Amino acid sequence: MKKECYFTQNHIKFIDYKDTDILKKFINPYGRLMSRRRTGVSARYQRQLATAVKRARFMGLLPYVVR
Amino acid sequence: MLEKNMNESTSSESLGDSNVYEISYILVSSIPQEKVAAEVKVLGDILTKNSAVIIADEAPELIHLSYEMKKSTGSGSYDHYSTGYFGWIKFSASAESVQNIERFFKAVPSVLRMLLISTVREKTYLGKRSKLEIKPESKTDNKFGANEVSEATKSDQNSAVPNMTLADMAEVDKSIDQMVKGA
Repeated sequence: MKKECYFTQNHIKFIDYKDTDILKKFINPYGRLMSRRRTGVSARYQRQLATAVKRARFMGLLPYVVR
Repeated sequence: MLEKNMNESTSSESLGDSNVYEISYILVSSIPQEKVAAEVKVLGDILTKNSAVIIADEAPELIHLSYEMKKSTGSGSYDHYSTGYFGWIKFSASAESVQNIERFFKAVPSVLRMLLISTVREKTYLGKRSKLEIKPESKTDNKFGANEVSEATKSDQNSAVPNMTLADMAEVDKSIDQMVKGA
């Protein structure tokens, strides 16, 4: 079954780096961004997601790495 | 070719307003809670002096930082912080004044870290982060986990999104969990 993009489904046009609860859904227990093959996120939103995660990391809202 | 370029420029304009910016900042946790409002006023004054128009903002709240940050004291040593007051301001300004705003923000001694981004005028932030619960025996070294969402986070998120009911929120959470597990 083909997975649908979470952001398209929920009509989220702009991924905000401050929305850490949403961003946490797409990062693995080590703090790394999950692949879109795994999550079904469209290419466009995967790019936005990557930027948002990097911004959240810089501001200390998300960790760079979890050991 | 020209037509193609014009199409590209109009589509980029519709995606984002180039004059709308958002500046988020972390104030050092060493300043007392009472003086945070005064610090925010200083930051607001920087914006107004540079002819920026504030669109939206959020007052700083004390949060746990995901990793320790350090700030130079000026005498060759560093202060280390694992908590900070996180706040943000969305504003519109000209490109020239934004450079000055960034410079002045960085010069404020209580600003531990700041981030200036170009954004859209529409509301993009859906929920609130969990506030730092100040408890006498609170654990400060919480390990981060993808599936770990505290009860405080859930309740804050629910209260901060008035348009969505609890059932809606649960449904959205359930659907994304299924999507992630199903992979």
